[in-house]
Amino acid sequence: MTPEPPSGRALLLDRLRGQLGPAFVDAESDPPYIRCRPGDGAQVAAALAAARVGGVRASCTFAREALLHLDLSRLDRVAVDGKTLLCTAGAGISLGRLQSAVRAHGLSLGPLPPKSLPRTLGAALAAPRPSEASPSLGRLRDRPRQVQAVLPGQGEMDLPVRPAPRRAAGPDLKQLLIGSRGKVGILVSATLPLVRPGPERRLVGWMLPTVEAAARALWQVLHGLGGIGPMDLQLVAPGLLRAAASGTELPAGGAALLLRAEGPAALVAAQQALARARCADGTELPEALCAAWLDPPEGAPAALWPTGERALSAPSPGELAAVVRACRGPWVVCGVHVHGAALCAAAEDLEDLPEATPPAPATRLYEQLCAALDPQRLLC
Amino acid sequence: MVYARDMWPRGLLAVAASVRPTELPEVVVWPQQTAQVQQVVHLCRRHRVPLVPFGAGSGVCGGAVARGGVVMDLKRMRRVLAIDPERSTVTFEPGILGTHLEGALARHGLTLGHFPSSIMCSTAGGWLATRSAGQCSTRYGKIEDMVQEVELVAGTGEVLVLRGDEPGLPDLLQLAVGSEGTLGIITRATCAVRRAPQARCMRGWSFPWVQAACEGIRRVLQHGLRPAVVRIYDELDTLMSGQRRRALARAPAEGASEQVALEPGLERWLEVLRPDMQRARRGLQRWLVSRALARPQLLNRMAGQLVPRLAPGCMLIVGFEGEAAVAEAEERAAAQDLLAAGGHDLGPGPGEHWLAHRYDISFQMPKAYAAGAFVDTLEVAADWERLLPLYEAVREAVSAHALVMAHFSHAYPDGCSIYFTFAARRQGGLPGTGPEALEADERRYDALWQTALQAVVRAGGTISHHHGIGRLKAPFMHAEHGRGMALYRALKAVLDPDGILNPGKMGLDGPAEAL
Ligand SMILES: Cc1cc2nc3c(=O)[nH]c(=O)nc-3n(C[C@H](O)[C@H](O)[C@H](O)COP(=O)(O)OP(=O)(O)OC[C@H]3O[C@@H](n4cnc5c(N)ncnc54)[C@H](O)[C@@H]3O)c2cc1C
Repeated sequence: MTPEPPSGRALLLDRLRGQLGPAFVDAESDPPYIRCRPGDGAQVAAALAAARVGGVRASCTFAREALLHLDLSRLDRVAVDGKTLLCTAGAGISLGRLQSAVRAHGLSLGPLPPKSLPRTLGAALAAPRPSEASPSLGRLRDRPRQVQAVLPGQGEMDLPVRPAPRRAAGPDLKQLLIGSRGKVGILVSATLPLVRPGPERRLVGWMLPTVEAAARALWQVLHGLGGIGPMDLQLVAPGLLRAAASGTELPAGGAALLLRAEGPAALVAAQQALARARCADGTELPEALCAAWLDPPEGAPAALWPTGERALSAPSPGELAAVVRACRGPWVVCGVHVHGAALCAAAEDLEDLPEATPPAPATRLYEQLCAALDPQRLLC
Repeated sequence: MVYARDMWPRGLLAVAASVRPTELPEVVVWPQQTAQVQQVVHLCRRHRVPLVPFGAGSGVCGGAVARGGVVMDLKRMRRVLAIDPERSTVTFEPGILGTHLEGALARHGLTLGHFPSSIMCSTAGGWLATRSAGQCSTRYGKIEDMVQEVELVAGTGEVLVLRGDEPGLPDLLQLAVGSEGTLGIITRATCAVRRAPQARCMRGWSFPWVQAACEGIRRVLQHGLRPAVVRIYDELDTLMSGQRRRALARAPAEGASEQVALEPGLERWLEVLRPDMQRARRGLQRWLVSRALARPQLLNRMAGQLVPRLAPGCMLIVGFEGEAAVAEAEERAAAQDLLAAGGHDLGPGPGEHWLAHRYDISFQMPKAYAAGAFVDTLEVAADWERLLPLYEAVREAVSAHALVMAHFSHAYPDGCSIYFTFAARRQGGLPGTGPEALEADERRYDALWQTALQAVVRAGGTISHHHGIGRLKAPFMHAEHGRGMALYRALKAVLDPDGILNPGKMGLDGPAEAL
């Protein structure tokens, strides 16, 4: 009796095990799917090629339509260059681990909301959040100098071929992958700029009498510094700050403005003085209280952070105050930079905010691009 | 028909030789509104006619050169549509000249913070199309860092509004910016603006050599300081500028040559040989320039030997701006880093002199052509690790073709841009020469660029920091983006399926298109 020919799934399993090694490919049964853990860009490309031959769809975001799931957790290497302050990190490393790895070199990725620390670098770039931004560094999604990616039709590529601080050589092609939620290609690694914290660092804050006064002070501090500093700037609901500081008494007020100034002592002192002048109608908060929110012990206020968030595009102080006022639960305004900010709040509070939906032609353009780059719709 | 060329020096060779340009459009249109742009695109699409957007023609890479077809001059679309001080944004049409846009913002106490040397002769649409950089880019970023939204009429005729922060979408805005008219025509844009600085602290510094100055600036930036202006002139550039040489002579950096009082004859020579040839107006001087530039290798070798003996070091201009207390604090903090790197404070004089003359270069090029030379510039960038090897590699590669000097500007915490200036002899159109002289000039020009860009790629730099690609650097787009060119081609296929927009540019027509 001739043995039955192996099924397509079995063939795919065999091929993947041959290419990645049996230890890195598992067949799950409920629901049935294959999970593979590639160790580098070449293996990601091999896995996608195998999926294409096998006629199955693949995903790195555990999309339900996919039969092949790429778990990128082995892509976790980090290389740091102390002269250029650049690090190249695998897409599978969490932002928290990456931050610890670069801290070992006396460097930092810059401020990130604690709720982002468990996210992988790949996820943070493929599905960026508006809160992942800083006044002096801008958005995390804009920072990569180079990404390595695998595209279903084109294979592995470095975008661009050589990293440079800035260039004028056509469209920024890596931006087609960043923010594409794994639908255009799979991010394998990214080269990011780092900052050297200090030598001086101060965490300062003021309780402003009203949300409106706080929004105006935030705007004045940002623009007083030319829209490029300080390292971090947030408005926090008093209740959240109190909870983070384990119930420490706070002066009465509508919102706290918190600021992290870092750099040479003279600059830090000048930034603090400028903020103090702009918050003249507020009450200065003790540094320990500001640190409880801005620089908490490992993981402490992560649980306090509202999970939902919404991008606010170049809001005026009045608009900012209005959206904050509309929140019934706790809220934080963070990710403040020259083009906008993020409002983090409970999902039900955000429901009331009309969400900016992309105009139809832009969405259509993106869909056409996805179709042009992945005509077989391999990725989902 | 009225049509102005752009400022691609290769095209200027023919102009200087009084040869009528062979590459001209058949039609020039001046739309006034997006709907008219759209109509023209539809018409060109229907008839498969090439369409080249045109700003002010200050581009230096041949990006706006048309070989037949239609040129769309956007200068009649030049309104400031809205200035919103509360949101800190400005919305404008693409054909507005840089100075007019800044002027409108200044009336509200605001600034875009974008000051290219060509601010008087370039449009905001051209800036966005080429990813332009201003003199204060170290503090405020390049134009792509300032833009929030563009309206683009694609090659399909569709009007797209692209932003960088649409929920659930990639940053489609950054795919349109820098596309140099190959994907669509920018018809409106919104950018972030800032309050005009209250104070400015400009200063000059001397360093024994360019490496030390780069090290100083790297430290400044990596300590979190953000100067608005950073310009490091290399030893040759410093030596050849009387003003800079004299400023350094008064206070040489430790380790620099002290023999800075030059013979009057040599002093005059250096002034004449500057690539902008400010003084080379008279016949004898013109003749001397042309003889000297005919032997660039020898000239570069001589410069190499003279510089260590004569150069008083190199000059750095650094400037901070913003609220007075913060700018002064930044300046004080930077001074510590610059001193530690071997710098010597020259006081505010050189910085203020630079500020007062910051746009002068825009008017010097014709003088060089009149003096029987051609001048061109190459602006590249790399991280700090690769920067100085890149500087050496390009100088070495180009020395056989032209006199070369450089300054470093547009600095970032992770790297910096280098701006090379080349000067070489031009013969086309000079008395006693025939048409073959222009051809020889063009061959020399092409060889120079080929060699220079190969050196850039080998040394790990980017082929353009802010002038863009156009036709000049198109053959090197594959080296810049590798397989990524497939993404650019996909964009082109979706946005301009008939390939009518700005054909022959950006390397989209094949990796090895001739210059
Ligand atoms: C003396 C001098 C100094 C310079 N200094 C600087 C400097 O400091 N920094 C700097 O960045 N550059 C500088 N440049 C280069 C030049 O000014 C820039 O490239 C500028 O951005 C070009 O603008 P423009 O309006 O003149 O565009 P053009 O030269 O007319 O066009 C440039 C390219 O953009 C395309 N284009 C123009 N408008 C549009 C539009 N609305 N939509 C789509 N595509 C369009 C054209 O097709 C072309 O490909 C300098 C040039 C000169 C001559």
